[in-house]
Amino acid sequence: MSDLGQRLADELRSVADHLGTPYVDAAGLAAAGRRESARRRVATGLLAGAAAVVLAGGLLTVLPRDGARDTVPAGPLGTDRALDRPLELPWWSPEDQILHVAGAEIPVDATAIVQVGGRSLVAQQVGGETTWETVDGGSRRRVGGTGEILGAPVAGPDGRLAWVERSSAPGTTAPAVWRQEDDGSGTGQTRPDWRGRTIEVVASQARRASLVTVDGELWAWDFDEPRPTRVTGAPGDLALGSVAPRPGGVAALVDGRVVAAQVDPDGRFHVEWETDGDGSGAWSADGEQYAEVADRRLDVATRAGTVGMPLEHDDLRVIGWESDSEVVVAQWVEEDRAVTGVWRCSAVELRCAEVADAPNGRVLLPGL
Amino acid sequence: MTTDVPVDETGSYEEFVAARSASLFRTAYLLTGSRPDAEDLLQVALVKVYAGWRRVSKAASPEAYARRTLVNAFVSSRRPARFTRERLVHSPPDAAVRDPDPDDRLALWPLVAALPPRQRAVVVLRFYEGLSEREIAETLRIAPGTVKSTASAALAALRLTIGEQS
Repeated sequence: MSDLGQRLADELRSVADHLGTPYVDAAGLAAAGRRESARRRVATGLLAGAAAVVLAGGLLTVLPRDGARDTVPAGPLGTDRALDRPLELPWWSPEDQILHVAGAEIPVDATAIVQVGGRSLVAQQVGGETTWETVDGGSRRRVGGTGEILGAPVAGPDGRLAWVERSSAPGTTAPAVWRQEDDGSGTGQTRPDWRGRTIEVVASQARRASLVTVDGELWAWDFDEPRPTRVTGAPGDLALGSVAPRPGGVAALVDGRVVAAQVDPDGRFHVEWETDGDGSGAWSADGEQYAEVADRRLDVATRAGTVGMPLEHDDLRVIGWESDSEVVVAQWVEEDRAVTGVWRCSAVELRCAEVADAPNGRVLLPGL
Repeated sequence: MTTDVPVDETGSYEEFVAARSASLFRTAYLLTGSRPDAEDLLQVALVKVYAGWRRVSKAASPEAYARRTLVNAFVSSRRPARFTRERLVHSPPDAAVRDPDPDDRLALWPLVAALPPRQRAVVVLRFYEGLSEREIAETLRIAPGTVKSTASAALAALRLTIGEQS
């Protein structure tokens, strides 16, 4: 042991030896443990016996009573065999620079991971620019052409990607164009009056339409149409960052609410349903459920209402859905800049379990 | 499914608490740096141990289980001042520490208490509990390489502050 190590050992032992013996009420602790065990059983009974349930889209959903939010309390995070299987979402280890995805281990240097439409995208910093690659079945492919991709690509329900790419035309103020994958080659679309303006691709819906905000304006482009269409009926001024991808549609933040919306074939924006939230959550693969952590609760919202479960720990955030009923949350400690725990929560059973062999420490998870 | 611990096994739990709480309390104090916080942490951990006592009592080392529960309850209980999305960086932030008094016999203790939670846990487990790198990895459920890098970062921070050669 080094000199410093020996000093540490000596000092820590000296501190500990001077503490004395604490008073511990063992019987009281046992009683507290029995109350905790009983509370978990009561919570499970409440869920089974008192809540109204419906089947919606194949998912068992707890309806709110009288329009109020149904917040049947579940037990604190605990270990359950069914929920504690290893993580299935992608994650990246800086220690060995390996991307773990779908059972494969792929060497890659990464600065961000995004899970879009069932596909994993990895961002890398190359010469001051950000490049994106798709990772499919262990193979990697660069997204885009020669221009730098601005922001993160988005994917539609068919997995087709859309992104904004800085034009590489020399000697000009390069406008950003947006492209969609077309059998791998990508096709671009831009307008002269967009030169110099900020463009962000925010969603990709069915019919291969992408939605792009241009300085707060919402535009849609059907791949089969020669030019994009200005979206009408969108609520107020949609600032960049207030419109986001949602599988099969688009999401927006309006007046402190998360809005699930669609752009109709005629270019009109219409709201399907909305819920409380700040946009830090994640959508299920079908875009019909939204999960977000707030105030030590995991809330899962659908158009039928919201159910929630209390969480035992602070600093948790949703990092993704692993099935149509399972949400994964991670504990991110800002001080350590590290992940200190990963849990899988069931939106049906309203309980969570700590994921076995979860990546901890300075790892990258989707959205982190 | 959780069930009540039978009366005879409750007795063994109380015996375990009586025999091990002092040792666990010392670890809790070295982690938290505060007596009240250490008492709270110890209570949280021992209640969790009770909930799993039927299984824990049959384990090779119930004390090791209790220590794991204690340390992980500490690491996961941190409350930051602000909840933001941050991009990961490759080197840990320097810990803010006060200048140690060279005449202070306990010069390192205030610096250890100022380390981030994960680094503090690794230091306590390694230099007070005497655990190996593998045992620390199992306790904190992290990779052995992460234990090594975390310990290195902690020692580097301490050395930087006390002015020793690394």
